[in-house]
Amino acid sequence: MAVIHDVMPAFELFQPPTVDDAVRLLGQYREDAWVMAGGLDTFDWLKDRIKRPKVVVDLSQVRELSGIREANGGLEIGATTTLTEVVRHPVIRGKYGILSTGAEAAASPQIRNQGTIGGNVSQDTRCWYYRAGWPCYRAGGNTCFADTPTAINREHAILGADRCVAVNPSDSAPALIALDAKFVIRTPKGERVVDAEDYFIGPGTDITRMNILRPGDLLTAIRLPADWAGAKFYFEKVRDRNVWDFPLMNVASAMVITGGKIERIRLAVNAAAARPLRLAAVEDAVRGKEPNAATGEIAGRLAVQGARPLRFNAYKIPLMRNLVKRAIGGVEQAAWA
Amino acid sequence: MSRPSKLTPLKTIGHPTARIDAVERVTGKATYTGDVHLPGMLYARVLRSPHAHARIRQIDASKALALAGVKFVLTHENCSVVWGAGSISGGRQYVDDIKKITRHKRYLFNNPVRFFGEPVAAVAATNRHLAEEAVRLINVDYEVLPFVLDQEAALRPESVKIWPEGNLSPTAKNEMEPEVYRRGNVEEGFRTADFVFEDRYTTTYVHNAQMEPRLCVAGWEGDKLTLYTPTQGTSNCRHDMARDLGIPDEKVRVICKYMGGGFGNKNQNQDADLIAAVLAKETGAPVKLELSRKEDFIGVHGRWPTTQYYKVGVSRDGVLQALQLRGYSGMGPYRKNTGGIGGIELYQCPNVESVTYPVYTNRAVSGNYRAPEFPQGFFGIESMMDDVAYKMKMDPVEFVLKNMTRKSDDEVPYTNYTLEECIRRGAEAFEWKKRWHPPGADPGPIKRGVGMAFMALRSPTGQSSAVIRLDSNGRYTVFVGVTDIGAGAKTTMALIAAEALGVPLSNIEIVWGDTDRCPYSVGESGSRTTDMTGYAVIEAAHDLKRQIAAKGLPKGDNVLIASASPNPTSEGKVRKAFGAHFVEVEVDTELGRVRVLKYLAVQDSGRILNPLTATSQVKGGATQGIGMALHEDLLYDRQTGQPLTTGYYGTRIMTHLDAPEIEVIFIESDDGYGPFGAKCIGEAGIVHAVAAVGNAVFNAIGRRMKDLPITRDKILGALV
Ligand SMILES: Cc1cc2nc3c(=O)[nH]c(=O)nc-3n(C[C@H](O)[C@@H](O)[C@@H](O)COP(=O)(O)OP(=O)(O)OC[C@H]3O[C@@H](n4cnc5c(N)ncnc54)[C@H](O)[C@@H]3O)c2cc1C
Ligand code: SF4
Repeated sequence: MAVIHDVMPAFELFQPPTVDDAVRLLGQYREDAWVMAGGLDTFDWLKDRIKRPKVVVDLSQVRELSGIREANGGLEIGATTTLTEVVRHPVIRGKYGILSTGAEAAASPQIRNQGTIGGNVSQDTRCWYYRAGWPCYRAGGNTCFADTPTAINREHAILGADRCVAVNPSDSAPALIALDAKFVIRTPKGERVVDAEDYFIGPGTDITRMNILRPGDLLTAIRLPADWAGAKFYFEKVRDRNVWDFPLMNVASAMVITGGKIERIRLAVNAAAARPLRLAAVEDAVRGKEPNAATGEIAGRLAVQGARPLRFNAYKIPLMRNLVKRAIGGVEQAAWA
Repeated sequence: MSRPSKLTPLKTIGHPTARIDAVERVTGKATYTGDVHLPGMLYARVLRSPHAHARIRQIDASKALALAGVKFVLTHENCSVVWGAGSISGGRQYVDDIKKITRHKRYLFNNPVRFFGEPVAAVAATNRHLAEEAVRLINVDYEVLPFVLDQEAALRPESVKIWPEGNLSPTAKNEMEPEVYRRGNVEEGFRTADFVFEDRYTTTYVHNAQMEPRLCVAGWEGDKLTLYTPTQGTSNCRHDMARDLGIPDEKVRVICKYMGGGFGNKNQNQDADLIAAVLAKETGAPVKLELSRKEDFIGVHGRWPTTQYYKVGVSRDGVLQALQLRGYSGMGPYRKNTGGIGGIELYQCPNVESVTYPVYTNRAVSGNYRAPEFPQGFFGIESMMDDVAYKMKMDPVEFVLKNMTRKSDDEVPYTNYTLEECIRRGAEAFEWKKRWHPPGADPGPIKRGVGMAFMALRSPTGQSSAVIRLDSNGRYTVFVGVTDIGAGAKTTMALIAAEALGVPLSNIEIVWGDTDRCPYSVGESGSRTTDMTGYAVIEAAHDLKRQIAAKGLPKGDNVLIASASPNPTSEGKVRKAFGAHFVEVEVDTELGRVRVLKYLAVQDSGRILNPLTATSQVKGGATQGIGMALHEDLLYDRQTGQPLTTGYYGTRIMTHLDAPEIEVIFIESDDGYGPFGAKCIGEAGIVHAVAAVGNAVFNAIGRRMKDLPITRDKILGALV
């Protein structure tokens, strides 16, 4: 049902001052509670009256969740740090430039001023049907409206689909995977740290969630280890418009080149599947090779193996092949430039 | 911007002038309809159909009415107002008689409902939240009916009939006939032509996407209605409201001081105005109704989608022999406009036939959007001709120069003719010969291409009025019934008055946007306000000057009042504006991305009254055209008939970062008609922009994109 509502319904709002208070509230209200960071994904759901939580826990007053600090030779980014702060931070720009570029590719300046890095990696899919309140698998129903012969699915998945064919729309996520970031989570049982790629889950694991957080959990920080500081980076995002547009696909790579050869590499794409994909097989195939067009070709072809197009998204296969190719071999300059 | 001009310069007209109300607007002093709060005002919300086509078995509003603060619920059961402007056969918007004879009446609330988003009920309550809650408490029992979305499919015999007579929308005479234009004999033309080409082009529903969604405040004092509403034409809106409510015109006052754009979305009265007026009458309190952005996208109207079949016959030397169009326009289930497909008239050709079917579908209603019938038609025919030129191994510019219109319908002279100059000057400034290359010729994945399209657009003269009052302090107060939809009408009227009166601009004050204070004005549609109301201002100024000559300047408490209601004609000639757009794009064939690198617009809109606003009009139109060419679309789910991509993000309208630098060259002329020789400009920028971009993409990749929008999936699909 296309959404034509007007104002938000009523809910109870909490603005806890500390992480402990927030966790306590989340533990108390569980399924009834909604975590709100910048609110940009949240308000869509609320204004459209599709998700109707009883309680909203707003993180904006939790000082300790915001800010970027040096830690263990790397960086720790608080979950409610805005995307703009991430984009502008001098150390991120200098050593982890791919995250700066990825975060800057998201949305629009206004949205980045308000949207947080924690919210960006935890945001829900943009599947038109789901966002408009259709009772699909992801919404707890028992069908997928996007995977029919006539459905609107130009933006949907070519890989990793399992009943649901939605994609993860985050632009910062593949950059964080390429940087081997660690996500710090507070659960009612204590703290947990997971690898970036393990934060995200596909429909095969749980069709109603995009990440491992369960009711009561809070993402508190994202850590960037020193290992990939200053590597050779590539980020490219494909979208219909130049701003204010989710990715049709994006790619992020970090490479360490020694003696003209790829010594170490991490490579990820997003908006190809329900979770951002780390392309470990491609990494293995190109390690030890020169980062040139020929290696790029091999990488691109390998990356799309097993891809399965829907009615309107077959273009994503050449798109992904070419993005991966460029992430390794670079872009061929225009003949006339 | 540059203006190679042979005209004699004027004193006030023709110089870049900031808008006289710019400060009010940017400081927030300007009051828009959204700022209007009346004492005791109620808020309305509309319940809209969740089905593309359904019969309402029953509506139960008892739970909504039981909420404290809910004052009234309107449905098809208690409201039988027919919305004239929303239901006019043949799309003849300003012809009242048609409302009486139309077979397909659009009530404010219809049963059956015929598109997703059609009003089913409206609630008035003491606040907005309550109104929204109440809307959700209305229980409607629907019998869901089959539906049809595509304009061609809707005419097939097996299609569901949206109206008992079928899905071909009737003409103004209520005949179930397509719109037909013929000249010469096309069959004969095809027989004698050396080459015949055929192709099919399609365009999509795109929304006006003006900044301010539809909203209004309606209140009654006794039997007089005051309506605050952002309308592109207060006089027309007043008349429409009076007609639809069955009251005399003078019992309606329409006020529109400032508005957030329109692009045709706000012509006349809209159903929101009528719903608010009826709710206000029923409750005895003023009522405000504001559409949300998503509602505005499906609840008002957008550009009609089309399917166009062309057949073109040419002689060996590349001269057109015959030209045929069979077109289908999707009007939604109610007829709000002509559904015409413009473009055939751009070419000189002895044998022409155009048959257009305006078709009912169960999509959102189609209506006015900046140059309602042109960008889609110009895209079709100018792509077709670009392709013919390619197949004839001719430079597309040479082909156009050989075949473009030189007289209206090859018969009636234009008031002046600068089309050839527009094209030649543009080609030179753009360095067309240097930039053009055989399609797809660039090696490597990133390719460049250039495209050109041209236009001739109606620039009519006609009736409007103005009043000027002069007091003893030397203040000239100009009363004109214009509203400022963004084009700067107020400023333009002030410039015209100052020039015609020979006084400084600062001596002029404009009274506008209020039917109780201003005389009739033509309405901000069809690029006519400057031409028609501007002409009336000049005539009124002449009247005032005559009075001053006879009686002297007013002294003390005296005033002089002058007026004019001229209805000039172009004396049997056809008045048109001309232009040509030249575009260079870069296509990244690995990612399917199109980027506009260079954009040149050459425009003859007669004398340019204010280069600042005129340039903005051309740039704004071209920008919208690029969006229509490259990414805008309202996508529907085919199984349910529900639109999915409503709103700014969903339909992907242009952003600042998508808009290229657009260079504008004005070729100024004075054909002796219109105020100081001004011709139409408001719609002129968009009409050929879509085609120009499409042709540039073809030149870059060597594949013709025949279905809008030209998104990367289509480009990558064509290249694999
Ligand atoms: C029009 C538009 C365009 C956009 N375009 C892009 C784009 O191109 N690329 C892109 O990457 N993003 C895009 N976004 C998303 C945007 O970046 C933000 O919506 C996103 O970053 C969410 O951040 P937020 O802080 O506002 O999150 P919120 O809306 O507050 O939260 C988002 C989700 O994450 C959960 N959450 C947030 N923080 C935490 C936490 N610390 N612990 C547990 N759960 C948490 C919330 O419960 C909620 O489910 C766009 C958004 C909009 C509205
Ligand atoms: S793709 Fe997933 S989110 Fe979209 S309709 Fe199907 S199940 Fe729902």
